[in-house]
Order: sequence, then structure tokens, then C-alpha cells
Amino acid sequence: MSLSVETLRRHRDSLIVLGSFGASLLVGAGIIALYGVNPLEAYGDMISGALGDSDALVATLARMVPIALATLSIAVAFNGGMWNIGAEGQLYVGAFAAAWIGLVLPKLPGIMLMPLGLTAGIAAAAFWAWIPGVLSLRRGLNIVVLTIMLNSLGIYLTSALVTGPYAGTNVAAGATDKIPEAMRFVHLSDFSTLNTGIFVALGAVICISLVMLRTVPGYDWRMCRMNPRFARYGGVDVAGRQLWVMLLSGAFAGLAGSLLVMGDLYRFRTGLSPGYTWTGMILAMMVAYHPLGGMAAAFVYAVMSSGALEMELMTDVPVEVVEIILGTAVLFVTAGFALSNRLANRLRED
Amino acid sequence: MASLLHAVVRMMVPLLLLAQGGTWTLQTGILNIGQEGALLLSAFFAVLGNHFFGSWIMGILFAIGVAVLYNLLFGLFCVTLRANIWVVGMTLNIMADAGAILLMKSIFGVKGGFRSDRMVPIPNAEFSFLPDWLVPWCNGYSLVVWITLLFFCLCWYVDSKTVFGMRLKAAGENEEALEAAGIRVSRLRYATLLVNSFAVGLGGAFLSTSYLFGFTQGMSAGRGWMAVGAVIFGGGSMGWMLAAVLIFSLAQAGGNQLQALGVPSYYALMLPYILVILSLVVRQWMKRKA
Amino acid sequence: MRKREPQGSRFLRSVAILRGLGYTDADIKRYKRKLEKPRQTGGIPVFYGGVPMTYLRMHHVTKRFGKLTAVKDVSLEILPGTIHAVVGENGAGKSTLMKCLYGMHPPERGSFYLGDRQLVIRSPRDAMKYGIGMVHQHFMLVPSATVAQNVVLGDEPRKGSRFDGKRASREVLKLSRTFGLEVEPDMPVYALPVGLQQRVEILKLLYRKASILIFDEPTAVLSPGEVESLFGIIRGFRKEGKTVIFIAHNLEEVLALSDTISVMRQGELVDTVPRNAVSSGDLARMMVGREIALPVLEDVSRTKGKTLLSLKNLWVRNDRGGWAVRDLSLDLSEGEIFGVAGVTGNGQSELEEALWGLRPVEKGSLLLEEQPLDSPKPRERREKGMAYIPEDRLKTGLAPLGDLEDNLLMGYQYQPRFCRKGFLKNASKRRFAGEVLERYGVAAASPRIQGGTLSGGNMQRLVMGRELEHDPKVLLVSQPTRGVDIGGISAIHDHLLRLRSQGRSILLISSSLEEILALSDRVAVMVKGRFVSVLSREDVSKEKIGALMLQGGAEEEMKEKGGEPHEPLR
Repeated sequence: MSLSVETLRRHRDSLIVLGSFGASLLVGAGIIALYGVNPLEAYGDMISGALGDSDALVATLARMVPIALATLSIAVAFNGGMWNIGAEGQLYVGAFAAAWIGLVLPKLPGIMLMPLGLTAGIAAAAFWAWIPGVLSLRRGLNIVVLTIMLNSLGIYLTSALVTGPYAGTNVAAGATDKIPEAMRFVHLSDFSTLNTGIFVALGAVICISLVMLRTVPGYDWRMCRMNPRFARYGGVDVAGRQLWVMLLSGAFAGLAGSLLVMGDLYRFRTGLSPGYTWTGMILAMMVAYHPLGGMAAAFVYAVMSSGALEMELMTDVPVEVVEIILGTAVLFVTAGFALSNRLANRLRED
Repeated sequence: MASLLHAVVRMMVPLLLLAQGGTWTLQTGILNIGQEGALLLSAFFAVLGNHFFGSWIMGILFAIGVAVLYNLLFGLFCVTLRANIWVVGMTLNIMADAGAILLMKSIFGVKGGFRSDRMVPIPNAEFSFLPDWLVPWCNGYSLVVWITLLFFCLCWYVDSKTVFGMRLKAAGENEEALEAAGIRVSRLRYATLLVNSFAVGLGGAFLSTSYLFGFTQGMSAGRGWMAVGAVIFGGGSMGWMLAAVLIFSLAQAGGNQLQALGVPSYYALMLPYILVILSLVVRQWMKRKA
Repeated sequence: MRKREPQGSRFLRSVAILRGLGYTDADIKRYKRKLEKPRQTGGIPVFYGGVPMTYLRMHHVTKRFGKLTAVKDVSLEILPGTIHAVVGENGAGKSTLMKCLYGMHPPERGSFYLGDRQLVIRSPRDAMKYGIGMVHQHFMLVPSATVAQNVVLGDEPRKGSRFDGKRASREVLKLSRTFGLEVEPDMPVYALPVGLQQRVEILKLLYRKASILIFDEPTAVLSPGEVESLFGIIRGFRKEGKTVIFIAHNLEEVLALSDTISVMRQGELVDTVPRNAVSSGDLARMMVGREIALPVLEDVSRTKGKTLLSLKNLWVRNDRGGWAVRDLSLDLSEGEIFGVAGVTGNGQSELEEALWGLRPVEKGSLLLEEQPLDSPKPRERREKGMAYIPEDRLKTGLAPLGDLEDNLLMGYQYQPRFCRKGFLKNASKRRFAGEVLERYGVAAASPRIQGGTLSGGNMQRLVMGRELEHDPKVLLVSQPTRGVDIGGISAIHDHLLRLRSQGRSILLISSSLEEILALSDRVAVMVKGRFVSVLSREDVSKEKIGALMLQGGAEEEMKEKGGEPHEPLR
């Protein structure tokens, strides 16, 4: 008996997440059924649409890259107790910075351009995250409102720049010219935008996962989230750590943006991101900010949303149903944790 | 000049409605983060009700109805289960956005935006008995504007004079005191959420059936967040909240004017957001000095 | 006097006690006549058939919190119109018992009666219906609301749904004048000094026509002048025929004010006696038990007498902007346990926070082994060999959502033992956790459970274990055995004594007198932010009760020294 309770405890978090996801799939099935479609068929279409053939697989992977980076950006932030809602703005700012490097230094060799572009993108986005970070940590302003305002500011600013001084030859398109060839990550297939940038992304993801799970800063971040007063008491420099968390979060958003510019589109344009960071937010919350869980969730989402296109074609069920399912999963996860904590406290009274 | 007033008032309506409801929930200790999503969803349902019944009243009722459900869900998670406001709020916002698009696709079969000829706009209030010089200033406003005004005055009264208003403020400062006196704070919170949903529903209906006509994807355009900014600026005080709403509306209207004058559109659009940040910084600085 | 022979012994006993309280027969006559007038208080007739109905009876009340039994089978009777004190040390159960009566903690066993009528009390609201009200130690007031608004909250006078502020002010003013609780009804509460805030709490009860008023440690937060006013007010209540229950552990005050005294110790009722039947020495003995055989502390040779921790003229602010610690100086030497006694709320929390760097030191200096500790950095203190077991385990000492391993690592994560080039040595972390849990007897099913699910005692063991494993040179420990059972207490004390014999210094802050006496080489009583009477162990055994309990004397000393002017509360 005690063995099974022990296993329950040890894997409580994963169980809640998986259980919630399962429950949300049921809810999704219900919604799909409302369209008069067999849910199993619909889910099947989803999977085949995403993984059915090599083209589909490649497209799915291409989708996964920005999503995974966005998810991790949010996971790093929320895991450290910083509510960075401004990742979308950070992504745009980073993307533009990367494009800017290519536009103003077209003659440099690739070996300099690529790292420079990535660095510029990451640094710009980190800066865009630093502003609200400092204002909230040192001045006590509400970080959520700040980051949201900076979101819009970042998007509008870059849009203004791309329709103004940095507009491409086709001004109406709202995009810059293409970046120099030396700077581009090579496309891996003809049918999708999957590119060699995926290796950079992979590297970044592995690094941050290691840091979050296995290092002392990762531990400190977790404690800052769980009980900042306890962390301070223990000797952690809470404000310092949290500022770093914001910078890293921005950096990942910036990396996502930079890879979109340098790998997918080879240019910067308005509407670059169809809300990658909002999706990333839902996914990060769904897996309780665990980096590896976030990777898995990003893959699941990529499959679901890639496949959902197929599903919408075949069955008229809109792709947005994916977002609804995942949102429901987050709600279940939240309720799950709240209830399980209450239960544990009740048991303690005895 | 009168047209400027009209423009500012039109900007103010959704902001004021949302910020008013938000201020009350803040007074009880809950910051309602989900306003953006609620606004969007209400705007959609207003169009829905309006279209199917050919009546703007039904549109408003539908909008309020969905807002009530939305806020009750928020309340279930944040008041009863005491879950994290940021997580639940952001999730609901995202789900609302996706949900509106989903419903639009499913019910109307279109993407991007919807409007129909069957829709009836909310009428403007025209006062025929007014002297000529007042006409451009007072006429031509949507009914919703006057309802908002009424609502605001009513709320001011309740806030400053009634027992309910007193208890709201007490709830935010010291929950224990109320619980000891036998008042259930969670009930107060749900009550404020309900008031909020009325306001949000009305605001959403205004957005899609009066100010603009029809539903467009993402049409709430950050107004919900500006309202949250105004609520935080107000810190529970209706006076300060009103000040913030005025400033933000002026900024928005100003931004539009600038665009008309030739300033590139994006820079003009940035104006209200910069103002929100600046006003919060200033307010915080003022609080620190006190 | 009506010569009625009501149900036997109850009546006789009450007259006997009244005589024992020093009332003459004429007094008793007058008293009875007053009781005979049926006075509607809380909707219950005061007097019926010659027998005073409102005497309050608690019958076999037992209250448990998890494994800890806070109140053990207590039966108590309280006469109407008297001032009845309930005394005991911290943790004796007196607050808990009254909170049961007031409906805040329904007891596992036991019932309450008002005369013959059994009371159904499941919440404070129910208790108020019977006319029972409680003034808590921590006031429940809304700071920016006025006095009148606070008093009427929940039962506001209305005109429709409008708040009738004028009527509220009027009624509150009337009440305040009637009972001598002068307060401005329209002042915002945050602007009032603590003594007046307490009056607002009292007015809340009077507004709802309470006839039985319970005061939980009311003098802890009051200045001497305010204490006198309060006593006057309470005596006024007695004249009005109200019953006052007074929880305290300051014996001088208790003897000055009460008619009857009940003594509790470790959850049990020791005895109930009329005031003139006892002396303070008797009471003290009843409170503490038999003469405690103080454990003989190993005589650590003081020839070195090296000072490890030194506080010089420390001033620390509290959260409201006033001073919590005033001009405190202390030298802590090796192999010494310095005990700080006193009722909580006299600056102890702020002192420990300032020592650890969680709160700024406004004036004065702090030296660890002759080196100044200037910056408020807990990490610096750890690295220099200090450790801290905080009073508030749940908020400061643990991360309730984290697992035990994570909780135990805190404070160690930068040490090479656990960290190599930034990477955590998970195996070491796990092993350490296992060792600590076992060595300090933390009963936990696995190291992966959440910290918040541990029982209070286990939490304390965990925090203690973690801090002791640092092998600190100086240990700050606050309320080490709060919520821990007897076996655990002695284990914790053993650990502390072991540290002492190894030549370490310990600053022990505790509200348990027994603990302070058992462990300390020197004892200081902390009152309103200062140390008064620092005594060494030998002196303490003779005057322990005297100096430590008689806060009154301490107040006098303070007034002479001229305390800081009272700072505004906002």
C-alpha cells in the first residue's frame, strides 16, 4: 500500500499534468463531436496530417522550433517567479535586430554575420525584457502590465521601422528586403522552412534544461518562485537571480525571433509571429514550467496544430480547437494542483 | 472640437466600463486579468445575438451573458480554488481569442471578420429639445455612452455611500475583519465579478455594434489591458481610475489625430502604451514619496 | 433579599465564593438584587428563580491539533459579573480554550452552558448571539476606515442600502461615553495609537451587546498608562454586571484586577481560586509546576570568554515605522546560551530579522568575531559561520510547495560539498537529506513529499536539523520547540546543549519560560524593544519569577530612561 502512495507522491506533478491533458482531450473530443465528426477520426487526421509522410514530418518539426523556444522562454521566466507576459514583443525586437545586422552590414562574411545576427537578436530581446524586469524588481511596478505594454510597443516600433526606414523594395508588403545569403540558415527541405537553425535551437534548449534542472542557479530560481522570503533567508540574492531570469527569458524569445528571420523567412516582416509566445505560455503552464516537459508539449502542440490544418480541411473542425484543448488542459492542471495541495493540507491536520 | 470630444468619449466607453468593474474587484483583493479576453468574447457574442435576432438589445444581452459565464469561471478558479490569477487569467484570455475565432468559423463560416446586414447598430441618443449650440456637444452619442455615464454615477454612489461599498474596501484591507463580523468575503468577490461582467458585456457590445460594426479577429486590441493598467493606477480609488481612463482615452484619440496629421501610424499607436507605462511609473513614485 | 431556596449547592457555593471574594453581606444583598432584575443581554434573561443564570460553564472541553492536545478535559465555571483571569505560560492552552468558547475552533469534546442552557457555537457569530465577545491580541481592524465604521461592520445601520454614517457615529459615541472608552468615532483607525485601537475592538463587542467579554492578552501591546485606563474600563464593566474573562500571564496585573483566577498548565486546568486566597508565589508555582530542577549546565570554562557575537546600540524599525528594537547591546561569548525571554511582540521578531539581515539595522552595529556585519546579506552570515532557525517556519523557514530535499538544501547550495562548477551534486543532496531526516527524527514518508504537508513538529525538526548541520559558530534560534511534543522538545534541547559544550554561542529567543530557564547561562527579558534585567543563571533560580514576570517594574525602569516618542502608525 505504502509503495503505491509513495509512487503517487513522487510523480504527483507528472500525473496531474498527464491526467489533465487526457481530460482535455476528452473535452476536445466532446467539442469535435459537436461538429458531427467522430473524434477518433479527427484525432487520427491530426496525427496523419502531422506525421503521415516525410513532408508532413518536416513541416511539423519546422513548426516546433519557434514554439519550443517560446515555451522555454516562458518556462524559464515563470519558473523563477517572474511573470513575463512580454515575450511576444521581445521576440519581435530580437527578430528585427537580427535582420538589422544583415541589412546594415551586408558585406561581412558569413562567419561573422551569423553569430553577430544571433547575438544582436538575443541581446536586443534581452534588453526589452530587462526594462520591465528592472522597473518591477527595483521600483515595485506591476510586471504583468509593464510587459504587456512593452509587447505592443515592441510590435509597433518594429512595424514602424519596417514600414519606414527599413522598408524593403516592396513597401506595401511590410517587410524588409531579404538578408544576405551569408547570414541564412540553410533550408533542409524544399517543402518547409525547416532549417539548420534547428541545431542552434536544440543546443540552447539542452543548455537551459541542464541549467534549470541540474545547477545551483536553477535551484535558486525554483526557490525564488516557491517562497521568495525563504530564498532570501537562505542567502539567495533574489532580486539578482530574478533579473537574470528575465534576461534569459527575453534571450530565448529573441532567439526564436532571430531564427525566424535568419532561418525561416530570411527577412523581417510585420506579423512575423502568429502568437508563438501565447501558445508557449499555455504549454509552459501546462507542464508546470518543467523544461523537458515543455519540449514534449511543444512537440505535441506542433503535431496537433500541424495536423489540425489537415483536420480542418477534411472535417471543417477549426484549428482553434487545439488552443481550446490546451487551454482546458492548463485549467485542469491548475485545479489539479490547487486541489491536491488542499488535500495534502487536510491530511496533515490528522 | 466637438468631434474631438466625440472621439474621446467613444474611446472612453469600453475603458471606463472595464476599469470600473475592475476597480471593484481590485478593492476586494482580486485583480481581474482576464478582461481582454472577456471583452473580445463579448464583442463576438454581441454580434451573434444581434445577427440572429436582428436586435441590438439581444446583442447586448448575449454579450453580458457570455461575460457572466467567463467571469464566473474566473471566479471559480481564483476565488474558490484560490489558484494563481496570472495563470488562470492568461489562459482564459488565450482561450477567449481562440474561442471567438472558432465560433466565427463554425457559425458564420468566415475567417478574419464578420458583419452582416441583419445586424442593427445600437442607436444614438438624439435629444430634440436641446438648444442649437448644445447639439454638437450632446447629440450623436450612442445610447451606451449614456448608460455608461449612468453606470459610473451609480457606482460612485454605491462606492461612497452604501454599506456594500464600505464592505468592499474593507475586504481588500483586512479580510479577517469581515469574516469575524460574519461577512463572507468570497460572496463579495463574486458580486463584484458579476458587476464587472455586466460592464464588460456592455463594453464588448459597444465595441462591435456601435463604435465599430462587426466582429474582427483581435478587435479588442489591447483595450482590456489598458483597462487593467487604469485599474492598477487607480489602486481601488474610483477617482484615480477615472483620471487614468481619461488620460488613456485622450492618448488614443490623440494618436488618431496624429495619424490624420501624417505621423506614421505605428508611432501614433504607440502613444497610449507609453503613456500607461509612464503613468504607472509616476504613480509609483508618488506612492513612495507619501 | 428574597429568601428562596433554589437548587441546593450551586447557590450556596456562589454565596460562599462571594464571601470569599471579600464581599460583605450587605454587598451580597445589593449584588443579588441587581441580578434579580431581568436584564436582556444577548437575548438571554439574566436571572431566573433566584439562581443567577448567566454563569458560564465549560464542561470537559478537549481540543486537539493533530497530535498535539492543546486543551485537555477542562471544566470551568465562571461567575457572572466577575473578572475572571485565566493564567498560564505560553502554550498552556488558555487562548485555545477561549477560542473554543468563541467559536473559532470547535472542540473535539466538551460543551458550553450558560446556566442550564447548552450553547451551540460553531462560529464567532453564534457566540455573539449568546452575548459572548472576544477582544483578540491581534486586532482585526480596517485601517483606512473610521472608528465608527469598524465598530458597526457587519451590522451597519442603514437607510435602505445607504450607510447611515451619522447614526453609526452617534451610537458609537454614546457607547464610548457610557463605558468610559473615549474615542473619536470619525477618526480613521490607522491614526490611532494601539491603546485606542483596542478600544475600538472593545466597542465592537459592546455595540453587539456582549455581556461576557473575553480579553486575550490585552496588556501585551499597551503602555503602562494605557494599561491603567484599560483596567478602569474593565472595572466599569464589572459594575454594569458584565462578566470579564481575562487571559494573561503577567501575574502582577492579574492580581491587581481579577476576582477569581484559574491557572492552566500544559492544557490542563490546575485550579481555580479567589484572588485573596493566593499570592504571586503560589500562582507562579501553579503555573510552572513543582520547583523545576534546573539541569546542571556543564561548566564550560570561561577563561577564554571570547566574544563571538556583539550587538552595540542596535535600533531597528518595525513595519509601521516605529521602533521595535531600541538601543540594544549584547555580547555573546563562546559556549554560552543567552536566553531572551518575554511576551512575543516586544521586538523579538524584528531583532532576529535584523541579526540575520532580513531587516535593516537603522543605528548601531553588529559584529561577528570582531568583524562588522554591515550589509544585510544572509549569505554573508552563513559563510561566516552563523545559522538561524526562524520563528515563522512556514513563511520563512521552508518552501511549503517544495519537496524535502529542496528544503534541506537551502543554505548549502553554494558549498563545494554540493556544488561543482555550478552543477548540483544530486547524489550528495539526496544523501544529505536522508541523513538529516533520520538524525533529527523527522517523520516523513519520503524525501519527495512537499514541505507544507509536514506536521508542525516535524517542520521544526527539519528546519532545526538543516541549520544545526551547518555546525555554526553562532546560532540564532527563535521559538525552537513551539508545537513540538515532549519527546521532541528534549531532543532539541539536547542538540542545543551539545552545541554549547562544543564552545558555540546560541542566542535563544523563546516565550516559554521553562525552556529559557532550562537552557540559558544568562537571561534577559525583552520589553518594548529593550533588555531589562539581564540575569545570570544563578540569580535566575531565586528571582526567576520575580523579575521575569513582573513586567510592571520593567515599565517603570523604561519610563525613567525616557523611551522614544511614540511614532505615528503610518
